[in-house]
Amino acid sequence: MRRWAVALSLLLAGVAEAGDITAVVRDQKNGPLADAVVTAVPRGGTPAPPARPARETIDQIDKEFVPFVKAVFVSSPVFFPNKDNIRHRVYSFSVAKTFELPLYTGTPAKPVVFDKPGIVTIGCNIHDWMIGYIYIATTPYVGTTARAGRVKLDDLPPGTYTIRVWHPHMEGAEQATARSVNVEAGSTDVFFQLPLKEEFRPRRAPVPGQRGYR
Amino acid sequence: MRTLAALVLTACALAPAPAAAADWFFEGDAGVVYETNVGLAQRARDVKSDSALSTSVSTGLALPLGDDHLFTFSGDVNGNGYVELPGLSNLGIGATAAFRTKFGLGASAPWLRLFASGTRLEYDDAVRDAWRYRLGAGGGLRLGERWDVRLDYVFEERMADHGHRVSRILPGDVFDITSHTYSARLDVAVNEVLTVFGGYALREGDVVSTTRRNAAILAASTALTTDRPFGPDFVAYKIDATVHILSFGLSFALGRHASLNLGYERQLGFGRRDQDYFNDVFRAGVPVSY
Repeated sequence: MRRWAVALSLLLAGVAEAGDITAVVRDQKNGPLADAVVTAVPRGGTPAPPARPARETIDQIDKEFVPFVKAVFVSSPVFFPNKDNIRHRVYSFSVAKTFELPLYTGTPAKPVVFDKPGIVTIGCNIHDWMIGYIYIATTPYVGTTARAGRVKLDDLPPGTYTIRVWHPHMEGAEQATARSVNVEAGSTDVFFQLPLKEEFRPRRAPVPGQRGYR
Repeated sequence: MRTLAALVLTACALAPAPAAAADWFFEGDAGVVYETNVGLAQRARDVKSDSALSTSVSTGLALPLGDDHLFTFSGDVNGNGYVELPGLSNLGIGATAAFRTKFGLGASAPWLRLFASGTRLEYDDAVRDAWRYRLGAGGGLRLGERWDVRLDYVFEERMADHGHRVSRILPGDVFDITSHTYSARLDVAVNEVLTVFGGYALREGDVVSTTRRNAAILAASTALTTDRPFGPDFVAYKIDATVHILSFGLSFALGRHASLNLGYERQLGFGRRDQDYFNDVFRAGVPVSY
């Protein structure tokens, strides 16, 4: 009984001291940047993985991947529910995960497990304009900016962290964005400005002489 | 009109039943076209330019057949309304069936498309009323992130309702025409919004031109009939010609489902016995697709 009381008091102390990081990401024109992945890695130690990787989903809605960018912890199972009334064929050639889901409707029974860190580009072989990204992180402290270009990473134990940001259209490497941040109780704000490059995925808008389904 | 109604009913009857795994698509286009030589005339005195309001609507089903194949079936309606030569205004109703296959996974995988279409064409002046059939094959691939190339072949046959004979020597079936077109096209994405495209097409086969009576032209013709839309003293005639078509255009994406397109095309026709012509075509339009 005494042992439990000690453990509980330590846990409560830890929670009380936990801090948050609020990251704001903007593009080179100072506009809010959505779909940027922000990671926080503690200095001098690997963060404990979640007891059980969360079950993640990437939907297919109106022939687009939703969300466009998804950040997951390594070894997370990801489901790809097809919410359109046409079949999709999802694939990836990426080094971090090569896979293919043959033509399907509904939700495949088995998820795809992303067991290596890195970035995975996904596509649909029926609708070439459909492209999405999965960021596979080695830290549980990861999030993706919303439309306002903001993301909050919760419950970080106090300490020094290396914060990085990644976006599929960013100029330069993710490593170049690294910076150290001391996290204490309360909220710590971090600001990033990312120059972006043009995106050249196959166009969905009509081009003369080409039908939508070619 | 009865013919058009029958065609619509037939297209509806032949359309594949809506299936859970099939996707309904809709494509439309509205724009203007200006041609410097609508009648493809060889003599300067016969050249007439005109503008037309052009619109088209196509709707149908896309049905994936296995991992690499896609079948599409659509009903198509298009119309052109000419300003100066209203007799050329026309309405076309038809259907298109197409089969596309990809050789591999991904947006860069080469693809092949086969199609067949049939269209009923009704003109304001009935001399051009016809059935038009097209068979085609095309293929292409994406090179890198920005380049798309494609090659196409189209066989076209038009079978006109009327073939009014006005010459004792030449038949009157001017609007019964057959052609083979081979084309190559390159699309380049300049940025996220703008795509530039250019192409070359070689068309071999019958060409219908319009002229006032001219002995040299008639000698080179293979058919002759009256052409009232151009005027009471004009005749339409058919020649066997090789046409080189150079095209260039810009396409601005307006969101995911619409574009603003601007295009230019130069047609250089070389008929037998030096019956040559050229025509410049300018287009502007807004296509949408869902």
